[in-house]
Amino acid sequence: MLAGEGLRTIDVTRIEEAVAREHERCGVDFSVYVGPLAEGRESALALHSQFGANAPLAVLVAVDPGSRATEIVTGAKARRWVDDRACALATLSMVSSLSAGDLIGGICHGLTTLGDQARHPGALHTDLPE
Amino acid sequence: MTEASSMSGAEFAVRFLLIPATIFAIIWFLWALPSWLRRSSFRPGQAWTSEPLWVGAPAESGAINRAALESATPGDGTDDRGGASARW
Repeated sequence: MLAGEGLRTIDVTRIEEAVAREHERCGVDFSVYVGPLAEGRESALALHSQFGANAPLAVLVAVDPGSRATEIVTGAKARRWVDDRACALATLSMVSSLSAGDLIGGICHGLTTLGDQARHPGALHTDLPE
Repeated sequence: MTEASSMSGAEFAVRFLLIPATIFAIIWFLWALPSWLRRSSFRPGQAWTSEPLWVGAPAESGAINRAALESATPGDGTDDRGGASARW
């Protein structure tokens, strides 16, 4: 985790716990970025590209508190479980908390919403019949 | 003479105003305390002057690729990524 001095340790811990919990629930690699997004969505896409080979399975939740913007970027494979409608729903739940000044609550609500939408049954039969 | 009529003004104020107000204040404080603790020290809308926070970054010990972030190169041209945007 990269340090963010603008938040207290307890805040960072809450975000870390939410990321780990939702990953455990649905298997999607969630990531949370809090900081400036100079170019808005283009910056969020650039951050998501830094996942390299893991980018298709990664979901990035980016929040720029200074410009009051939030972006969710889903990788190509992660879109199977986290579609654009789920992302729109997550941003709605985030905005309701963020607009009330609850930065950490908004991020955690967004992650929970994404995790709820991304839950999918495990593949029970992966062998093809002979 | 009844007990209420023998009560002085100061005693009346303490018994029926100060004590209930104190009890109310204690209950309100205990009710509000968890939300104060949950609320982050940072307020949205403030300029973000500290280092960005990235939980679940690609390389845990690495640094954010600031050049890519500032030039905002979204990656390869074959972009089938999804997501959503919002402002508040």
